[in-house]
Amino acid sequence: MDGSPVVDKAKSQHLSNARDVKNCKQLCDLPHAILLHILAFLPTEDAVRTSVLSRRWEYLWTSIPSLVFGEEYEGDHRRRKIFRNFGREHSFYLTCKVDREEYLDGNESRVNLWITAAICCNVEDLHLHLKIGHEMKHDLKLPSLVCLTNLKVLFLMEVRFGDDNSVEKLLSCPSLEKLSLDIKIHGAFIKSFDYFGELLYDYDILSSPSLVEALILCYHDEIEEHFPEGPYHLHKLLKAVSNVKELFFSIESFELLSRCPILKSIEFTGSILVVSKKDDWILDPVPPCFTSSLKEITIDGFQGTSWELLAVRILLRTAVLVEICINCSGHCPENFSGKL
Amino acid sequence: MSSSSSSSLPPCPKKMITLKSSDGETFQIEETAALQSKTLENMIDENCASTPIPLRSINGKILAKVVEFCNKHAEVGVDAESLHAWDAEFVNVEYTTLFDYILAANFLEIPTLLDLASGVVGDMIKGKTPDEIRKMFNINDAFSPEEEEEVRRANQWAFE
Repeated sequence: MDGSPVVDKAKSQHLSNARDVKNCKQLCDLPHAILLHILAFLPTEDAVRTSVLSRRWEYLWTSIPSLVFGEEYEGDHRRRKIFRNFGREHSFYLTCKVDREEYLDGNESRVNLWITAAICCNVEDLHLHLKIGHEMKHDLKLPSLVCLTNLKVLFLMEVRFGDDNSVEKLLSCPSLEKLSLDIKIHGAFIKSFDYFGELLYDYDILSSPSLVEALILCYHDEIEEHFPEGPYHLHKLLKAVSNVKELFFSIESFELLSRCPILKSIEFTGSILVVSKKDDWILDPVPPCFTSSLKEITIDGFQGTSWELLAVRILLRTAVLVEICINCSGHCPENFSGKL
Repeated sequence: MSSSSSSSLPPCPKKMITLKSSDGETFQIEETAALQSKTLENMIDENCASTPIPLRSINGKILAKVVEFCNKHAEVGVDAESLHAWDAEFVNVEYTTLFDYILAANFLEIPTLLDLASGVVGDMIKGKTPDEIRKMFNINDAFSPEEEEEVRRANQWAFE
């Protein structure tokens, strides 16, 4: 193929792998690699069903390089699609879009079994997209007797977990570097944490020493009014990420920044507004990072309103070592002559 | 490379190589056809193909068929449809013969033949119950009913 002088080596490997052709009378006489090659021609379900043939076959299918499952429902006609992909990466894609209640029955168990199957194949890349109506109403139970040593990236979208220890275990994968979800987290090596949500639930996150980056976006403007527990939940989130060096944060209360004493940069998106209760326009208490570690404040979508100017003035006055970077929005008048 | 059908020019002498089966039969194959086998291609590249190449793991009956397959797939001007039909006929054999094709194709590294025969074995497994598969391929070391039930339960979704 490549004309390299490895002929002898390749030849001898082949010789040792091949059985005597004359004596091959049974499927089981075929070498392992060839049985796998045959399994690769089967639909995934047929390949998995060979696990009951005999002991030799029990785990054979798990060595197929990559399994890709998918399930699609179109109107009343339920259609299942199973994709396979023989790339070198171990990937597992599961997309399950179900928008009618009656399809829910039994799907949880299948989804769970598929995940188990993927884990048996030492999955490295897990894409799990379960969309059932507006909200998934059942618990997703992940296999408990596994440790995902290879898993590095895990995205879980619109999945709600029950109180299940296995979830904790799943998320304690030693290689996990990036995680996006909203449940209990005890990942000692997580480097980046993203939160998008409404602070409706209590999130119990054990502070991770390796965490360097956090993104927290809260949807509700009036959290305190409508969600009395929102500030408490946010407080817990911030406490958990208090070691981070970069925080991308969208919420109104500055007071919460006092929980991040070694913060280096803050980024504001949308408008920035500082509200002073005593009308003295002094940040009280001043978050400790403002006078020590904070080096950079970025404000995106700056519109040049007097409120924003006031906020920037207050920030400049309060934060000692800071460089402020302002990106104006399209609404900002070109001849903006605001004096800082 | 030259082909016999091309023109009125005298055809170049075809380069042939000789293969020797496990039971001592010899087969001549054109080098162009033999190049479908990566194993043979490597030997040709290394100038190891001037003397008969002994293939100790392939018997004469199977080697004859493999040479036939390579010749057919080296033919020029065969349309895909008729080649497909020819292939289907070629693998319409006992499963034990299919296994022999697979092993020979694996040894000689002929991906087209390996995939063709493996695909047919795959098709034989497809949609069959475990019992049917065991019977068809003579698999004797089955689980006990309890063990089988356990394995089945572990992969329940595939059995629904």
